Amino acid sequence: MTSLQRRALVSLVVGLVWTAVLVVLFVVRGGVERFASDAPTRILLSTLFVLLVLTTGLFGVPWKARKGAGPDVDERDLAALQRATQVQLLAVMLTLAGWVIGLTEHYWVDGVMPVTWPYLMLYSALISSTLGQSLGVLLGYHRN
Amino acid sequence: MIRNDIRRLRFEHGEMTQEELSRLAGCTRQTVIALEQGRYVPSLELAFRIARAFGVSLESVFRYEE
Repeated sequence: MTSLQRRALVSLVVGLVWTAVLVVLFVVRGGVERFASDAPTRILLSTLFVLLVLTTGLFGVPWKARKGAGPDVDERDLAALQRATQVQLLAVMLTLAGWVIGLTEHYWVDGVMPVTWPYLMLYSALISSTLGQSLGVLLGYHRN
Repeated sequence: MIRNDIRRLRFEHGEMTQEELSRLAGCTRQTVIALEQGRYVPSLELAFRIARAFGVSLESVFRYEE
């Protein structure tokens, strides 16, 4: 297992656990309504979300590796990284499609939706992006 | 399909280790392992570097099979 693979695997596992914790906290603390009306809840969840994206997104795949530098990175790693962006893009597109279709159908009659939802769309799209990146790196090595 | 004789060549070169080859060819040991197991086809540049590490021609290391 390469250094990049190890980091991606750890990043994926940490990201999935953290996402589960975030979702559970979100539901336990009152869901969308509480998120919209209670500033401390919003700050807490937002902080956890930012930490999730930072840990899995920035530290999961080192910046040096993205530039092809470093003793542990060669052309095979870079090829895996390039393929990872396809998985990342697909994950984000599917997430956004799910949100847009779901919300549009749900609020079709009302014609408007609560302002909280775009926030949650952004959060989930970024989480999908970072998890998709890690998953993509792992899948990228298998396609070599 | 592109096959290679890296494992045999390492053996013939004083049982060169994968680590040594990776250092000479400028790649990681994991890539050498993947190459030997036929799980990775290298770029032309890396293929040349590997051949140079063994001091042989490209065709002596890699061959194309239908």
